[in-house]
Amino acid sequence: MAALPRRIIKETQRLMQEPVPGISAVPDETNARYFHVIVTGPEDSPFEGGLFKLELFLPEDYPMSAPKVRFITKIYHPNIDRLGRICLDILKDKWSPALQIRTVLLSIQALLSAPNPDDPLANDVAELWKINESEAIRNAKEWTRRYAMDN
Amino acid sequence: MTDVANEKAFNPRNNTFSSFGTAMEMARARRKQQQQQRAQTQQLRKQRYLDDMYGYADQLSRAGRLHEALALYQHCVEYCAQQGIQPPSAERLRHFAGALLEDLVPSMAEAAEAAHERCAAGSDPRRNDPVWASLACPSCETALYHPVTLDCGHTYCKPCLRLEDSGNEQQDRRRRRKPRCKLCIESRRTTTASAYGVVGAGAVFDDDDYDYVDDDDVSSSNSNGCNEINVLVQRLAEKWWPREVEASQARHEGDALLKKGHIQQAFERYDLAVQLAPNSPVCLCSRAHALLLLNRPQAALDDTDRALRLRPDWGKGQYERGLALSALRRYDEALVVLGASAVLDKNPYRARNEFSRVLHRVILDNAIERQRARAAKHLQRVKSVFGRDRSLYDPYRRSSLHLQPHRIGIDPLNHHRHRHHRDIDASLDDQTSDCEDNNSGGEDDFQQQNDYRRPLVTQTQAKPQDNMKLCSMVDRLSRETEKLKRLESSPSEILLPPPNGGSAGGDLDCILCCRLLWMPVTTPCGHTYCWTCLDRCLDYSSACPLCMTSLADYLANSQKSVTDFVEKALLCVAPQEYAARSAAQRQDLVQPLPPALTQVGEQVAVFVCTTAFPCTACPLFVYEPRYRLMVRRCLESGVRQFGIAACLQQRPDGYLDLDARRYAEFGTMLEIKDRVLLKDGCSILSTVGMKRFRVLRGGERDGYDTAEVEFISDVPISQEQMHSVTELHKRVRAKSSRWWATVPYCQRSEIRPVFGEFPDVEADWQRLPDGPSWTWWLLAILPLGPQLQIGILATTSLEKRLRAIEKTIDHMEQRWNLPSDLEDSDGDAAKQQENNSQDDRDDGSGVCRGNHCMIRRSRHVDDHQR
Ligand SMILES: [Zn+2]
Ligand SMILES: [Zn+2]
Ligand SMILES: [Zn+2]
Ligand SMILES: [Zn+2]
Repeated sequence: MAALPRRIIKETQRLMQEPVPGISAVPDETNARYFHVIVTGPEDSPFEGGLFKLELFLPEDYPMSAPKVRFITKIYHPNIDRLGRICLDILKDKWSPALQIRTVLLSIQALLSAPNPDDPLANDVAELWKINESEAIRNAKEWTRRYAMDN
Repeated sequence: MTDVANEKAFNPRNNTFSSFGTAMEMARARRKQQQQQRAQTQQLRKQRYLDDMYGYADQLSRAGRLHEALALYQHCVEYCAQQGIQPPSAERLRHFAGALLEDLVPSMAEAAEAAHERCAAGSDPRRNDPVWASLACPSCETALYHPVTLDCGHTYCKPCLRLEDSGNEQQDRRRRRKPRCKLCIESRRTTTASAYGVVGAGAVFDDDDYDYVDDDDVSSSNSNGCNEINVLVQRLAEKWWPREVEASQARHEGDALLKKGHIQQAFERYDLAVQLAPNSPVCLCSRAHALLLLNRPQAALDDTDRALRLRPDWGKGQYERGLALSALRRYDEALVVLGASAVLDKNPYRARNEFSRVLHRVILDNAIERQRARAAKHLQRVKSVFGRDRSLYDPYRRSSLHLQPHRIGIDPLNHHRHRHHRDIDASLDDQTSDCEDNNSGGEDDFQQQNDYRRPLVTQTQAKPQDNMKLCSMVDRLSRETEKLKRLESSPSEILLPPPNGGSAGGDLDCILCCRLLWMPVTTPCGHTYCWTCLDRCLDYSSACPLCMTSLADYLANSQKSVTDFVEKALLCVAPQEYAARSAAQRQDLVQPLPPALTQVGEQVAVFVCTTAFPCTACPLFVYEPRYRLMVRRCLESGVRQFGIAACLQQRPDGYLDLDARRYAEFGTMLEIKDRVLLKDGCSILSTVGMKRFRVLRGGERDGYDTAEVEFISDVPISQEQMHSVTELHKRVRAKSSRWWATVPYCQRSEIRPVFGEFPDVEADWQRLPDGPSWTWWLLAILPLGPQLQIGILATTSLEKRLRAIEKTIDHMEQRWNLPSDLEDSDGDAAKQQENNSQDDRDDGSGVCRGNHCMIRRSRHVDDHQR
């Protein structure tokens, strides 16, 4: 494995020194490209009070390619599927090498605050979100309580 | 009028009422008529005389006999005044002014030579030269305001940019006009001049510096063709020279106001600029210009004096000073200053024009003065000296005396032009005789002018001290400019980054790699990255990483260039780090492919695609971003080699499967013979197979595979086997040739361009590390499954390889018999390939590779299309 690029070192340093509020990202002890991420559910969202674990991996051609991010904690969200995969444009075609781990995590946090059922990944969740939003939100709260709060 | 006179004169003759009164009237009319006629002829004569004189003077000017020419012009002006003719226009002095300046301005060849000498003095003296390192705008030479980096890498204030000449109209409608770069034009001009050693006589010179009002600037036209403001340069300039940037802004705003005709407001902006940057000659000069327009020439002169104290060798400053002096009617001084301006700026059009205007003025004034003096003298003579020997005032004697120094030729202005004199004199003699012919038969009252060469001399030299004044002025002009030419040129402001100015804050770091910028390149949208970082981004997407503007046009139309400003800043601020960075970058290039490939355990880059064979061509189509990077590194490092190995399986969609090796254990080194870079960044490589290798350990680098490999080659044929192998070789070779002959012509003509002709047998084939090349050539075109190809590649026994070929050809000759029993039944990949081979063989010939698969793509076509 080649030496860690300065870009990753710098980003990691900054994440440690000035963490994003509500987000912690810690590199794995054995693999500096693998991050253990915890996002706290944003206030005034159905995910409030939850602590969501994610994994983030920087591929060999990062930052030319987007980081790979996945929710490990189960979450009831129209843009996040059963396997924790996230539907977020900047992780796919809208990725730019000028974006950073920090911006990605902020975008994910924003996605929790503002679910977008019109661009769904989890179809059934999105469906319910559109038809009966209050029930969907109830479900989301329930899942948050059940999966993201017991620690 | 004549007709009326005639009527009056003749009608009364038939009139019975004629009287003495009318007869008198008639006589008067006739006399008047005669007078008029005579006056007209005289007028015509005088005009013709003047024309001849001017012609003579122009020729003298062109021959470099400036003092004589000057005397002649002087005479003409005086003659006009005497005769009450309109004095000559400034245009009349064009030749003389031109000749005078040409004498002063160093020729382009000389200038180029001087520049060349300066360069030759040190290896690159500019490196340590603060002038070279100055980070000012190359056009206005002050701090950059709204910096725009052109495609050539030079950065200017946006308001300083002028569009390039439109050139061919028709052609131009399609193409957007781009801003032109003064520096690039100048360097081109210098190299051309030094290359041909010619004096660019009719060359058109830029006059931008003298334009406060110009329609062709970038802001006034729709600035489609112009790049965006360079964000990094703007940030650095504002951080490093806040006051200077503010002054530059005020000055540029003043220019814009002046252009709209708001002189007072423009003056206020310039005034502010001077307050902000009191030691900027440019700001002072701009203010002087506005003051002049506001009719305050004395204040303007003061400003230009200050400016020139700061920067004595500045042509534009001299020009403004000349204007101010001329406005103050101090023409003699103005003449010298304008001449200097023309010399310093290698004769810009405007300074030339102004110069000849003032020269004209000076000559006219001088003539008036002389007339006045003459009148006064005449009066004096009449009064007090009446009765003395008049021969003392004989103009002949004095002139002949005075003429000597000019004729003998100690004249510093024309000493090097003696060669021409004889020719000119000859031609002048011709002309003179022509003129005499024309004038012969003229009336007597013009007699004295008829042979005008003698009277000319008498008249022009009549008052030598006056002429001396003009001549000495010309001499002074040449002395002054000589002095200026020797001055070291100094820029208006030397702008350098403050010590410890940048690197600490990360100002000069690349946003993509977070390292110090290396070979900084600025996109048309004004964003700066390392050259290599931008290249890598463009492998993936044609959008600018920061603003997502499409860079497709930029890529298609232009070569990238290093941004001069940023590179200089790096060299000033962090020279050591920059040097270290360059070294690291070279290492980056070389690391995947060390020059010595012979050792075991070398790292090579691996193109995961197909099996290629030694000695055999392998055309490749490279479109995947990571392989674009890999190929670029190969080429830039000069190694030009990489490994190729067959793809075993698609990388599964998931991630984190870091350990799965996806390519074959055996592969071949390829050497890049040629590369065609397509517009979209893809490229077509012509490669040829080299050594074979076995992968010891896989790795990855920036997205592409690398491997630690050992190279393999055939086991030498033992003495006992030699006979049997030779026999086998002979047989298989014959069989192969026979088979090749049966391949349909159309297919052979498809194979030949890619793989070449069936190779001949090498004389020393038994001793070659990879055996005879024809075996590999044949293996490349035979329809073999990928596993079989890998197996054949892996074998180090020529005998085995020959037997495999024989077996395949035997099978092929029994038509439709699939060589499936040859396949090592090794999983899905093989079966899949078998299907492919079947498709390929649908034409029944047995040659598997149709045109469509001659060029091998890496396996991730789907990734690309998705
Ligand atoms: Zn400028
Ligand atoms: Zn340029
Ligand atoms: Zn970079
Ligand atoms: Zn941009």
